[in-house]
Amino acid sequence: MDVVKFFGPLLAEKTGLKLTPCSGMVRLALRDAGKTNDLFKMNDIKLLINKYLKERLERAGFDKNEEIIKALNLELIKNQSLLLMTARSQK
Amino acid sequence: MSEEPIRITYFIISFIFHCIIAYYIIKTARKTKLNQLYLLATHVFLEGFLQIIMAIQGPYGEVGWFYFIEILVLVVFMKWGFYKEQRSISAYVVIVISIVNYIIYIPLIVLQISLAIRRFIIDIIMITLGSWFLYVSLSAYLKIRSVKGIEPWIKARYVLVMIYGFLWALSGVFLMIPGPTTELSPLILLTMLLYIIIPVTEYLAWVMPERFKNWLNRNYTYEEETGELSEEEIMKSFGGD
Repeated sequence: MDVVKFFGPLLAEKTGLKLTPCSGMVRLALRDAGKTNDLFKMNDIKLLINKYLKERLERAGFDKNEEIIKALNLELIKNQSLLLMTARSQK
Repeated sequence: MSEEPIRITYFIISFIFHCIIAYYIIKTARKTKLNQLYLLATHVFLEGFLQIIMAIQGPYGEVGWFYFIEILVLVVFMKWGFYKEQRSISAYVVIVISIVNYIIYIPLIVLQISLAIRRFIIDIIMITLGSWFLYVSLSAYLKIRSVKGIEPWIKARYVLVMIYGFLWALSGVFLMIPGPTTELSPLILLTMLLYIIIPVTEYLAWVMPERFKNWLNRNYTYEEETGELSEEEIMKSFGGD
């Protein structure tokens, strides 16, 4: 699952900010986590959101980060089938 | 030409085709470390293996119980893949129906009780499971349908799983219609045709060949970036210094 393409627009929707910085924020969190865009394990994505993205939002001093993180977690659970449906043997 | 060689050839080709699909699913499971895909590969392999059994014994042979293992594997796979972190009443209902039918089915085989009843039980399971598949994939599809970041081939995969579920249920309905099961009646031929389309659907959904994927994505553009931002700029956008 391409987490930048999935969480970037979601972050933009929840924060009201533009897509570019939101996708960039997810990329920064990925870089902190030492991961690439394609993640398939639920635990890896949860860690990305709840630790690395949260830390980034806190460092940026974003007001509603708890609320945003909670919303992203909900979206992840709601759309968990994407982990399976985006898996392919070829790139 | 006798119909027996046609039947056997059909089932053997179908078995080989299922093995190819299972191989690709295992490859994906190894690459992504998604363990639930091993269950899907097992289901596809068993589905293919059943073709061999059907070639030897006919569609409702003595090893019909084998069918239930295949079904249970599939139900657990769907529950794991679609509802692992969620409660799903429908998943539990399907699991209970499958187990109850299995419990009823075993004595029917052991005691050699009516083929018609055994056939009815299998058909009920197929219709239930097929409809559930349709429901699960449709509900998941509706949630992601309008998400722009999700590529069309991924959305198409949901649709293919929906078609797969629908065809499964439909084959159950066809098999419920009374008629001879040992000769190539039009109904059996129609069901066999469905059994050709079903693995093709599975192949397209789970293997998703590159050319097919590219074709599905042919008009897709994702307007994400209007320009590269530095780390500082990104942090500033979120209110940072």
